[in-house]
Amino acid sequence: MDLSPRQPTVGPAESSRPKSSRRRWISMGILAAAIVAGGVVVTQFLSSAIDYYCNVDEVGVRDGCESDRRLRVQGTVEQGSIKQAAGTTTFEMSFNAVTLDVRYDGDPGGVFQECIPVVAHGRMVSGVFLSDRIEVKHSNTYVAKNKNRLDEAEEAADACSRVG
Amino acid sequence: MPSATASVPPPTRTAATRNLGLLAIAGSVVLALLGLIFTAEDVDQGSSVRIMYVHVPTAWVAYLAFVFTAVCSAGHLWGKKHSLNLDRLAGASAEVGVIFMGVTLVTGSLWGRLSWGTYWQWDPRLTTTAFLFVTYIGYLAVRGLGGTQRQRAKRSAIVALFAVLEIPLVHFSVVIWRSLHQQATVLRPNGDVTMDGLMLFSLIFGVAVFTTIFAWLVLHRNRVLAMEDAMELRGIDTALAARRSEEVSS
Amino acid sequence: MKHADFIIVSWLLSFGPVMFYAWRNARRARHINPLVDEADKPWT
Repeated sequence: MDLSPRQPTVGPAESSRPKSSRRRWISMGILAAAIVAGGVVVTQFLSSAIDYYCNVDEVGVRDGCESDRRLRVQGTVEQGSIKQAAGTTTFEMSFNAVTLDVRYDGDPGGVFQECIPVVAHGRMVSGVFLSDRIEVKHSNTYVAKNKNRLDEAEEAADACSRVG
Repeated sequence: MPSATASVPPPTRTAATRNLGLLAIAGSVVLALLGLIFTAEDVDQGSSVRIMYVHVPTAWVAYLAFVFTAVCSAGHLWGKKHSLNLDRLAGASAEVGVIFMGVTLVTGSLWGRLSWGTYWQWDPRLTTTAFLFVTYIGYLAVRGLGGTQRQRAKRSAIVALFAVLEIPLVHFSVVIWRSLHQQATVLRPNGDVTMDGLMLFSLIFGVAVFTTIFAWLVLHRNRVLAMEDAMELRGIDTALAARRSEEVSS
Repeated sequence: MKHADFIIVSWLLSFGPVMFYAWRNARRARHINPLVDEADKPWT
């Protein structure tokens, strides 16, 4: 514990002045960095499409979803359509009754499975969507696992319609 | 914190902050038990849903902090006294808000890796949240630009009142644009909550805990800022007094 | 990192920065306390 007498005249007058101008310069630097970072965030946002994805039925139809450009496409993974062979995953993805064949080199991460909505990044090549990135779009519904085992079969059965 | 000084209670402590601090600690322990052990895994997301109990409350409390900053700023600008203490409360609240927003971004990124398979995407919700975070770092920098305390208070109050307008944009970004991020579960326009009971309770409990932590931090921080301001004023006082005595003696 | 690690890390990263901020603020308070007049501490 410090028992020396207080010396307020020496403390603040001597130490706060140079320190406050240093603090000012640091603040200006941070402000400049924040403005630059804000600009980067906005340009990143605007340079990717404003809408994060196109739905399957909009490919080649909607503006910005032309089939000759790089796309992000959303759809639900069709039940029983996932096939994995030699490091490649193929599956069908559908939305509004339109189906798209997707080929992805590798094993998609996240909680990829049937009957869930996903966003695939890639481009159309002769009718097949070649994807190099798959994101799983999760729902905002939270259900406790094994809460009611009797319902599980029923749940699995209408899972496809539940998440769409 | 094993330093010798840490055993001395900080001079900003009062009975109220002490109790608030104890409440925050107890609440955090219960939240950890609820979030990590007692709540079930989600059907689709499995155990990664456990990140929700820190991700969502910190986001909400960060919004709360920024709104509180705006309210205090308005109180400073339009109050009769132009209270500097309201300005310091605004500053303290924004600091804590920035920390919580940063936590939201980091935990969200980890959650995104688990459930979407990616740490970051320039998706509307993520982008607007990052922009909000950067805005309030800018606000804190504006507070440090110097000048008198009144100038600082007025300048930063105006910035705060503009910055708070971004919050509705962040909240509704998942409705306005198509987003990878899920839409609101609890604050839904139609009032239905699509969440299991104990999960929902834990989430609300998490909000209460982080709000307590927020109040505790802001009280302490506000007092330190008051001490800093008083010190600065006294520094100027003593410098002026020294000047005058020089003039008299010469 | 395994699944569980992500969860533990995200919880640690939630409370860690908060504790660090509180600790730094308390340290600052102790440091400047002797330089501030008691009259400027209305909460005491």
